[in-house]
Amino acid sequence: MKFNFFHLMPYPDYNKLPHEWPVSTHGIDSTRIQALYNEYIDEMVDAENYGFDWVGCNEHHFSPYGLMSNPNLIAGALARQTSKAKIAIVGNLLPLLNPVRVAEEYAMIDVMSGGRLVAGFLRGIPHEYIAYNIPPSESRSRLREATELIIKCWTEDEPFGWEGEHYRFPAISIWPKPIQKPHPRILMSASNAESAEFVAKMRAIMGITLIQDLSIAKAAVENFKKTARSYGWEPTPDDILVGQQICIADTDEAARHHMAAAQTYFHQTLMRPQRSAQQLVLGQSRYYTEADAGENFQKRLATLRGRTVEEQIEAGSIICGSPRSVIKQIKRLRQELDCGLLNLTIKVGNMPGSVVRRGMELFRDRVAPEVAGL
Amino acid sequence: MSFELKTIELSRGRLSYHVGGTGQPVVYLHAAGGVMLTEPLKALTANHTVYAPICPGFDGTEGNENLKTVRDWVAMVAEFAEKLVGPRFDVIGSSFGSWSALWLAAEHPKMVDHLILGVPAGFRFEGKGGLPADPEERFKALYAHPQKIKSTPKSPDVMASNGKTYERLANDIQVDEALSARLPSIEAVTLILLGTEDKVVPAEAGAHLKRNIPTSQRAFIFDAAHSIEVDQPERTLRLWTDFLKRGPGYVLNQGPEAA
Repeated sequence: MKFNFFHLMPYPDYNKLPHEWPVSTHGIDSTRIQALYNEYIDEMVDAENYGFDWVGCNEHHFSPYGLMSNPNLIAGALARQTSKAKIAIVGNLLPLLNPVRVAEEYAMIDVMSGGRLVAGFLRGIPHEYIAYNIPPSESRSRLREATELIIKCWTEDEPFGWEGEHYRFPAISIWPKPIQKPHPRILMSASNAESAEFVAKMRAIMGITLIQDLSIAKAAVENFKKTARSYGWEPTPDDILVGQQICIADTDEAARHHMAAAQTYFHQTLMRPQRSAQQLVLGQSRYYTEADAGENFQKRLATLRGRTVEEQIEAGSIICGSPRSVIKQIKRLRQELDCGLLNLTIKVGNMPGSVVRRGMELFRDRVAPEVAGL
Repeated sequence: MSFELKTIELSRGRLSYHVGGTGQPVVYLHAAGGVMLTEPLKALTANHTVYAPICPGFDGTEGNENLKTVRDWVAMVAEFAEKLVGPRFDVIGSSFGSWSALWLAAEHPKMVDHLILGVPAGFRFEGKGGLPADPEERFKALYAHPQKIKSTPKSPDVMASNGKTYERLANDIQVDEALSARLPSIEAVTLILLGTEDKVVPAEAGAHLKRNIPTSQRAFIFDAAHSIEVDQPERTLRLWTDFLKRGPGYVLNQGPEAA
C-alpha cells in the first residue's frame, strides 16, 4: 500500500463559532498564519522520511477550514524541499479555475519535482462555487471539459486552440510540458455513479472520502471497477484511493481522546459556517443532477458529525488508535475496499502539533513496516 | 438562404455543384460521404457565396473515369473555380475535402486565400484512424451527437457509389507523402479543425499539418467526433466566420463590442 500525508492546513485558533460563510478575518493575525505555514510545510517535508509515499495538499476558500486557496504554491515549496515523495495535489478545483493556468502550474510542479506530481482534478464542495462566482449547475460539464483541455495542454506539442462549451482559447502551447509521459497520473473523486463514469473514461485514480459505511464505499468501488471494465481496463489497488482522518497515539485511549477533541473543533468551528452556504447551493442549483444526491451528501456529513470516535472507527470512517489498532484498521480497509492508496489527514482540526508529530513517528516505526507490503 | 443545384460543362467533363448566398466566395469541398448541406454551411451563405462542387460519382452524379486521383479531382475544381468563382477565394474542406483543398492550395497558390481544413484526411500515420468497416461502428465514429443530424439520409445506392468513388481517388493512400512534401510551400493562411472525439482523423494529422504549413493555426472543437459540422454546428460556424473575417488575427479577443 501507499500512503499520502495529506494536509488541509487548518487554522487552529478560531475562538468563536463562525455563523456564516465566507468567514470574517476580523482579529486574525497573519503573522500567526506565517508560523502555521512553516509548521505545516515542515510536517509535509518531513513526511517522506516517516514512511509516507506521497505528500498531499488541496484547495479551499474563504474560511479557517483550510489555508491553501492555491495548493500549487505549497506544492512548489514541496517540490524543492522533498526528493522522494510524490506530490499529490488533491486537488485543484477545475470548474472554478482557468484550466490552461492549471495545466501550466501542474506541469511546472511536475518538472520542478522531477516527475513526482499526482494531479488531482476535483469538482470541489458545493459552497466553493459561490467563492469564485461559478454556476454550480455547470460543475460537471466544466470539470469534464477542463480535464480534457488540460490533457491536451500537456500532450500536444504543436500550438492549438480550443473551442468548447465553457472555454475558448485560440492559441495554446504551454511551457514546459510535464516530465511524466504521456502525462502525470490523474486523480478524481468517484463517490457516486455519475462521477465514476467520467473517472473511468479518463482512466484516473478514483478517490473516495467521507465514508459513513464500508458497505456503501465498497459498492462505490465495485461500481467504479465495473464502469472501468466497460471502458476496457481493469483497475488495480493502485487506482483506488481512500481518504481518512487518522490519529495514532501510544494507546487507544490517548488516540481517541485526541481525535474527539480535534473533531469537536473540526465540526463545530471549521465545518460549521459552510453548512448554510452548502444548503443554498444544493437547494437552488443542479450541483447534483441525481435528485437525492445532494440530500445524501448532507446526510452523510450529518451522520459522521453525530457519531462517537468509536462508532466512526467501527464504520470505517476514520483510523484511530494505538499502532496495533491502526494496523488492524488499515488491513480491514485494504481488504474491504481493495484500495492500495490511503489519503491520511493527521492534522485534524486543531490537533496539537506534538500529537501530529508523535503520530508520524509511530507511523514510521510501528505502522508502516507492517502495512507497506499489503 | 437555400442552395441551388446546378451543372457546368468543363473540359474534363460535367460537374454538378450547389451554390447559395452572396458575398466573398467560398468553395466548400465535401467529405467521402458527399455533400451535406449542414447548418454551418447554410449559415455561411448569409455573408458568403458558397460553392459546393460535387465530385463526379458522388451523390448520384455520373462518374468520370478520367478522375483517378485526388489531384485529378482538384484540377477539375480549379477549372470550375476559374470559370465560375473568380481569381481568388476562400476554401473550406471536410475530411476528404480537406485533402483535396490542400492539393488545391499547393497547386494553385494564387487562387486560395483563407484555407480551412476540417478533420483533414490523407495523413493516417502508422495506420491510425480511418473509418471502421462495420456500419454501426462507422456511424459512431462519425457522430458524437447523431441526434443533431438534420439532413435526409442518403440512399444505400448513393452511399455505395460515394464509397466506391472515394476509394478510387484515395487509392488506399494512408499518408500522402507527395502532398506532405508540398506543405511548406502552401501560402494560404490556414486553419486546421479537429474534433476532440474524432477517432477517424487522429490528432497527429493535425499536428503534422500545423508543423509544416507556414501560416497555420489549429483548433480542437470540444465534444465533436469526425462530423464536426453536425456535432457542434455553432462552434464550427464561429471558427469559420471568425477565421474567414480576420485570418490569423482571429486569435485576438476583441471584446463584446466587436461582435
